[in-house]
Amino acid sequence: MTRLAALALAGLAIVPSVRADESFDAAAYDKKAFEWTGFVEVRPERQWLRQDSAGYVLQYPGEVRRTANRLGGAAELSGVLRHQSLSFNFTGHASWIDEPRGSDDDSRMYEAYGAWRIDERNNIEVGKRALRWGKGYAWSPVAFLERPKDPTDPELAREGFMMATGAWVRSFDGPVKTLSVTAAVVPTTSGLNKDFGGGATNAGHTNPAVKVYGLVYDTDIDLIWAPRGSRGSRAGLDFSRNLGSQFEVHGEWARVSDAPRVTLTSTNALQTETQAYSSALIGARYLSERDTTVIVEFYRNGTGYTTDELGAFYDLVRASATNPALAQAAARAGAQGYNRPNAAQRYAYVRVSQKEPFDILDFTPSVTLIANTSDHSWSLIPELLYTGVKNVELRARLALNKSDGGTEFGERVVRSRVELRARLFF
Amino acid sequence: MKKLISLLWLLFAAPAFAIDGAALLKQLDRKMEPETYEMVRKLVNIEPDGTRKEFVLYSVKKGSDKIAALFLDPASERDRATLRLGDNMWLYIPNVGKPVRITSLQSVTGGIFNNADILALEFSVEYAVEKVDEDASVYTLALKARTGDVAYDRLTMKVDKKTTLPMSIECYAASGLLIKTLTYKDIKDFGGGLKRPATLETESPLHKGYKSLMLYGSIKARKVPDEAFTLEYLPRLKELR
Repeated sequence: MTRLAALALAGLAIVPSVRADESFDAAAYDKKAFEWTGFVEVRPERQWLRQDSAGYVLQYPGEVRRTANRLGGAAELSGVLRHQSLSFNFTGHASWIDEPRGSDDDSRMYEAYGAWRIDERNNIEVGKRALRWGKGYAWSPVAFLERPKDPTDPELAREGFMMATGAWVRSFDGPVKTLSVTAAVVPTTSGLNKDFGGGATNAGHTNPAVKVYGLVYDTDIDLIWAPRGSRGSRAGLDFSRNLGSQFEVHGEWARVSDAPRVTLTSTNALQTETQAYSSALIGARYLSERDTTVIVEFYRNGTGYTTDELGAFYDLVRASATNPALAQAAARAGAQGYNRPNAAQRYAYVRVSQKEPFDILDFTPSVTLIANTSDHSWSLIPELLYTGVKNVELRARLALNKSDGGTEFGERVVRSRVELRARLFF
Repeated sequence: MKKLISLLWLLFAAPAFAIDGAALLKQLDRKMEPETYEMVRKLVNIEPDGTRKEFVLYSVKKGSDKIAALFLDPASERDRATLRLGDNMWLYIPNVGKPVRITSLQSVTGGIFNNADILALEFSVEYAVEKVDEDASVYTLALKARTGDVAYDRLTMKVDKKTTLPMSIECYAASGLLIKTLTYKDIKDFGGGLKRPATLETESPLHKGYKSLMLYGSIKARKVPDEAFTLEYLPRLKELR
C-alpha cells in the first residue's frame, strides 16, 4: 500500500496537474481609471578596492581601506490616472544607501506628465518626461534630450526633464510603412532643467528638438535635429534593421556643434575649448538556435578624452594624495568631465546571455565585457538572473575591473565587486 | 465494364481531390478569429511539480501582418509590449523606455512560450497546405511554413469536419523533430458569431512533464487604425484597451 501511495505521488509529480475547472475571467483585466505598479529592491554589495588607483584617492582620501561593504535599497512606483482621452502618468523613485562614508537617501519623480491622446495618430504630453531616442543598447549618441545611461545596467529607469512634446504618426502601404514626427521643447530657466543647461549662467532657452522616424524598406530610420540653445546645435541619425530571423544591426551618428570640452593644461589649470564633435555607434544583436543572445557594440565618443589626457588627470589625482595643494584642481577636473562615466573616446561592448541553459526554466546567465579600446582596459561582468518565483527577480553579479595603472578601468577605485539584487514587483 | 468501373471510381474519388486545402485553412482561420480583433488570454506554464506560472496578455491584430501584444499580468512583466509588422518585430520594456528591434525568434518572456505562441498570425498567412487527407469525421492537413522565419517548419493539423475547427496540431522542426503537440478544447461562444475552442493545451517531448495552457477569455472584432501598430504607439498600447 505504501509502495502504491509512493507510485501515485510520483505519478502526480511527473504529470502536471491541469485543473478540470480552468477558467479565466477576462473582465478582471478591463482598463481602470487608476492603475499602478512598482517594485522594491534590496542590494547588498562587497567591493575589493585598489588602493593605488586614482579613483581611490578621490573617493577615500587619507583613508586606508581594502574592502567596502555597501547596502542599498530602492522603491519605484508608477501609475496612470485616466479620464477619457486625458491621462496623468508618473514614476517616482526612492533610494537609500549605506556605505563606509555614511548613509544617504534620495527620492525624486522620474516622470510626472499629463497626456492628451487626441487619437491614435496624434498625442501631446506636458510635464517631466524621460524620452528615449536612439538604437544603441549600451550607449546612444543621438539621445540629445536625456541623461546618459549606465552601460553596466542600460535597462535601469532614468530621470527625465521637464518638457512638452507633440507626436504625429501615419501608416502607409508600400515601402514606407510608418512615418512619425515628434517635436519637443525642453525649457531652461534658473530653476528649471538645471541639469540640461539651465541654472544661473545659461538659462532662458526653449531648447526645441524634432525627430522624424520612418520604417522604410523594413529599416527603422530616425533623423534628429536640435538647434542651438542651452547646448550647441545637434544633428543625428540612427537606423536598425533585421538581416534574417536571427540577426539585427543598428547604428547611430551624431554631430554636436559648439560643444564645450574641459581639459587640463600643463600647469594643471582647466581650459574650456568649444568645438564641433562627431560621435558614432555601430552594433548588432544575434540570436542562436540555442537561445544564446549576443549583443556587440562599438562606440566612438567625440567629446571623450584621449589616453594621454586621461593619463594626465590620473597623474594629477595621484599627486594630490601627497600634495594637498593639488586636491582642489583634481576634484574640479573630475567634476567637470574627467571622472564622468565613459570619459574616453573609444569603447567596445559585448554581452552574451543564454536563456534557460540545461533546461533550468526562468534562469538566464550572462557575461558582459566593456572595454576601452584605446588603452585596452576592461571590465568583465558575469551575471546570474533567476525569475522563477512569481513577481520576484533575483540577480547576482560579479564585476572585475582589470588592467594596468594609467588606464581607465585600471584607475577605478573598485578592483572587483560582488552584488546581489532582489526585486519584488507589485 | 471497365469504363463503368472507371466512371464509378471517378465519381467516388472526385470529392477527395476537390478539397481545396488553402480555402479550408482560410475558412478555419475565420472560424478561429475575426480578421481584425482584440483578445485577452491567459498563458499558464505548469511544471512537473505542479508549480504554475501565469501571464495575462492583451493582443490586438489587424489584417494579415499586424499584431501587437501587451502583458497585463504578472506585475514583473506588466506593460511590456511587443509589436509585429510583417517580419519586423520590436519589444518595449517600460524601464528601458523605448521599443527595441528584436529578431523574430527572440523570446519576449521567460518560460516555454515563444513568439509563435504570443504573436502568431493566421495559419493561412504563415503556412501553405501541402496535402489534405480525410476520414469520416476529420481532415488531416499537412502544412509547410511559407518562410524560414516561422517557428515551426511543418504542421500536421487535425480539423473537425463538422465545425471546421482545429482539434490538434503537431509542430515539427525542419529536421523532422516533433517540437510540440497542441490540443484544442472547450468550445465556447465568444459572441458575434464566434464559436471556437477556449483552451489550447501544449505538450512538448523536449520538455517532458511540462505543460502549458492558453485560456482565451475574450475575442472581439474591433476596428483599429493602422497607426496603433507603430513604434510611436507601442508605449501607449495599454490605452487601446
